[in-house]
Amino acid sequence: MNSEFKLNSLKHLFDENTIKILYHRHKAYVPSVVAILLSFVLFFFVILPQVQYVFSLHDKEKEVKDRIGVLEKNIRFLSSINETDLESKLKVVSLALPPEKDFTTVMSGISQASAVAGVSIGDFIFQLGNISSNTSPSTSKASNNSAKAEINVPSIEITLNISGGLDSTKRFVEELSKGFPLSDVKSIQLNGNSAKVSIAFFYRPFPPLQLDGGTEISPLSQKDEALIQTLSSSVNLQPLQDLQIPQ
Amino acid sequence: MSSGINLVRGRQGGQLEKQKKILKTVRTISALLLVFIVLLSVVFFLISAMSPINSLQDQEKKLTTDLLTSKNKAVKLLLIENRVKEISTIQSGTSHFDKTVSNITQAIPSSISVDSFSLDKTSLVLTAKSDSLYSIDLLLNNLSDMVGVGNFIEKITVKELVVDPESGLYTVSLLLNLL
Repeated sequence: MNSEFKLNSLKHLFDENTIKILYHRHKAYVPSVVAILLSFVLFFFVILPQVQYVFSLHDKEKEVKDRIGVLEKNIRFLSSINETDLESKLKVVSLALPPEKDFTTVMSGISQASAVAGVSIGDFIFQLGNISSNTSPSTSKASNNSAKAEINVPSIEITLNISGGLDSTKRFVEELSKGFPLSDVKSIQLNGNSAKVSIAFFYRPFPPLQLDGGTEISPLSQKDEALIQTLSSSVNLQPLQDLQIPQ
Repeated sequence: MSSGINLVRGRQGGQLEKQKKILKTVRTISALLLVFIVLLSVVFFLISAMSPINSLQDQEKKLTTDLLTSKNKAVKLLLIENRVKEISTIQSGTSHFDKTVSNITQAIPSSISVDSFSLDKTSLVLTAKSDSLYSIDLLLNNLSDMVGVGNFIEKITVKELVVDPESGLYTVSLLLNLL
């Protein structure tokens, strides 16, 4: 009974006539209330996004300014570099670690070392065969295998016979360690006056390069310059080959 | 007709004034809010319009184009850095057999002749001959002194020591485990 009465009171409160009466009584307020509501809606849906946009614009400006700073620094630095000096350094390091398998340079290095050490190289045969990274076993005196050295750099392995005692072999190995391309002696087997030496000559293709304008290009460190200087003093007097610079 | 008849009772007249005041206040607030919103919108629009972002982006494009003229130099420099890094890795990882052989030969007295010498990354097998046991002893002492020094030899094992009674030559075969 009570709930029915309450329901009837509510129905009476919100019936059409009541609403009409309320509207006529307060219609002067309607435009103002609508304006206030509209202001709130505009604030949340227009002003706040505009504020966010302005802040993001500010962040973007900062990013672009930073990138501009790096670009200007890179341009200034590269302009100051002597290209000839750069070219000669690149040739030295590429002689030390060629970008591709180069049997001519390897043979040249072996000949140079044997000449200085005073040993004679026995007959050796380069088995060119399959010039790939797969190893190819050979029964001949000299064999060449392209295999990754333990230090995880591709290499050409050569086993050759040299005539000479321990001292001569020592000198030969010493000269090889100073020469180009960089090599690593894997084993030495000496019997009387002849020795069999296994050597790995390293090479490494140039990596793919991506010039990113946003990355600062820094000069070579002192340690790098010192290494290049050391390598330059060891460079053989052999024609410097044209290098294919990757684009 | 009485001009003094006031059909609106005093209490209701007071309420009317109050309602008029409230209406005026609400209208003022709504107008102010709208003006405020419009002003804010205009201000933020002007701030974003005056932003130098477009000119900065144009400047960045121009500089990127300028950088391309020095592309070759940049490429060469990066390649040199790469090569130097690789060379350092190789040099630190090589076996330096030249030093190993040099150290061993320094330990061999001149009266000893080396018959065979087999060296790889982990071990060295040396067979030497001498007519003097003293020289063999000297060789062993020299090599023993090297054990544990300079991260070179881990241990030495005498595999064989034989004497040829006819020639009087002593032959020693040593196994050196390398570090």
